[in-house]
Amino acid sequence: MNTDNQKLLELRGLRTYFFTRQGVVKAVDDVSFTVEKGEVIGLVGESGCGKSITSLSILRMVPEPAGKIVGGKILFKNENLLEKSEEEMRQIRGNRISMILQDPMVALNQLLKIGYQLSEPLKYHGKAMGQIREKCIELLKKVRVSSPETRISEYPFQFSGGMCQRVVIGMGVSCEPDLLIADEPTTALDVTIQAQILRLLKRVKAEFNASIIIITHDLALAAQICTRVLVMYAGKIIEKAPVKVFYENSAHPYSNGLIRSVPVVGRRVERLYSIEGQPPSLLNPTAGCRFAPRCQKAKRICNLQYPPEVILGDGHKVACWLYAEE
Amino acid sequence: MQNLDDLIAVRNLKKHYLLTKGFVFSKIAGYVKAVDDISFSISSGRTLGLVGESGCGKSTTARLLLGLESPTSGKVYFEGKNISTRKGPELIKFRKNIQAVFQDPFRSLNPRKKIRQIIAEPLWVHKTLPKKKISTRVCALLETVGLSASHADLYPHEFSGGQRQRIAIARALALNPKAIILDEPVSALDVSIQAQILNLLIDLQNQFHLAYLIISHDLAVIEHVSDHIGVMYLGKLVEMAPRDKIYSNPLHPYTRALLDSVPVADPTMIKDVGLEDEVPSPLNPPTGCRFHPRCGFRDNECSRVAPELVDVGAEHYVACHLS
Repeated sequence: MNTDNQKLLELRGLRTYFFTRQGVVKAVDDVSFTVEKGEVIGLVGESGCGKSITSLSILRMVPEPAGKIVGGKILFKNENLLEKSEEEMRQIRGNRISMILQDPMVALNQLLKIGYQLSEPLKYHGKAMGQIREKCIELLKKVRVSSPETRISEYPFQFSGGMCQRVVIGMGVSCEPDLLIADEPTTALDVTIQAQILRLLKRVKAEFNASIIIITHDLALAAQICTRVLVMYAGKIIEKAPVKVFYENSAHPYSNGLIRSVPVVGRRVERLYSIEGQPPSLLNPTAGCRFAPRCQKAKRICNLQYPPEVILGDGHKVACWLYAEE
Repeated sequence: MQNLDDLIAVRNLKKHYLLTKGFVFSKIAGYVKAVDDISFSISSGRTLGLVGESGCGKSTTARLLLGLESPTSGKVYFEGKNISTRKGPELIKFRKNIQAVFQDPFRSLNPRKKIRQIIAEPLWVHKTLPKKKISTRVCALLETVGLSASHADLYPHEFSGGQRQRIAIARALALNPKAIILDEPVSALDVSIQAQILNLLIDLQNQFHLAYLIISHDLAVIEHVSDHIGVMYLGKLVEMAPRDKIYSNPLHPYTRALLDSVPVADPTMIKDVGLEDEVPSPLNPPTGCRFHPRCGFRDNECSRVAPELVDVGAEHYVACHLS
């Protein structure tokens, strides 16, 4: 019972497919994971591996009619989001679950004042009636935007990229959500600003006691903020591990390769390790492990059958034939 | 640093953009000092990395070296000859010595042309090869960058990001240049592909003895490929040194702050310090040292006098009053 209370979000066998003229693209194929209260989950992978579609599926914002959630369950506080009506979903989006997008300059409407955009979720969800301006100023203070009283009536183009991202984060937390999904929140920003936004996210998490799912391709960023890391490859989650275990003892050959291929400041190597080849197309993927064609440790079975999920330790699971009984 | 015999030598290079107010009787409203008095050299087979936040003048420096912009003042020497004053056919002739690879391989390749045409274009323009030999040269170039000759008749959309960047590199190599300017060559690529491209660039440098100017905001990438590193801030070089010096003994507070900001892929090393605030507007840069409003070590002198780039020994240059 106690464990159920801790569970905020649970995905069970989620499948999101895109139906195109060339065939069915299995963007998210049988993805299961849980997010507990107060956790920061890092969903890591290369472009096109399905991490963004996973997050859009949680909010039921997959672009239709091409894309469709064809199977699985998304349990948010023990209620299946896939059974909710569109109106019920609207009450959840921006209120209980909110999203921070990659490029803050695109996420904000250039024609509307910052204050107006910041107040939109508050108004829609009926929070802070009558004192919206005060609430907005308070939000801007929380995300450390200087002189919020004047900046509230400025436009996004008068803000720098980092400041815009602060506003977007402010919008995201305005209704004090239980879950914050941040899709590549710092990719469009400079390193110094990236570090600032990272610190801000940590503070926001502590203050609002929210869980966060961070979607990123940057393993270093994930190491700095996450409590657990999930690695996605070609529509599947191939490894789940607590953050320390992941960076010290990752099990899947792909995770290993990713960690080794990132250049690290102050630890220069003569030659970077690189994973040869390209990620596969998600159109008609093979029956076997999708990493097998690029994997140096691939066995015969790897190409024939998808590996089962093996439990290696506390919270450490991997889908790889190297650890499974054939 | 002061040796003009290097392949590329840049001396007191400045690029100021004029800002005007009004339409018909326009007045000068100010200058944006995009590049303000920088000097450096690159010799054959070596790599200079330029790092800094966006808007610090890295890309303008690249454009000045390529001859895409003409400098306000200062000189660019290539093999000892001043090239910054060249115009017209003379400039075009010079351009085959320095080629460029840009950040986004989705935009730097013409989507309506076949790979064969894209790679052959510099050869047509400069007429360095007889027409009959162009096709074999294109195939050879594709193989040099790790693609195959059969790719020549495909269009850019049929390739992934990493492969497109390889094509852009093949095009840059077509004229056997002596130097290549790489403006954020891997920042649009995925991590696993990034490592492939960085390794390729190092191999090509060894094979063809190329000089590289690599621009990146990623300090880890810069460390991996560079021999010398220059740190830029608001149009000025604030520190320049051999690679290992920058990382083991950064002297400028800005360099230290940049290094502190880089996240480390190690959950046992959580970084919680770093610069607050953002880069001030280049339209109205701070007086004295341009970094002083964000600097934790500033004193009175910093806000009044701009520090010069001084040699502190062993090719290590820094512009800071404190060192």
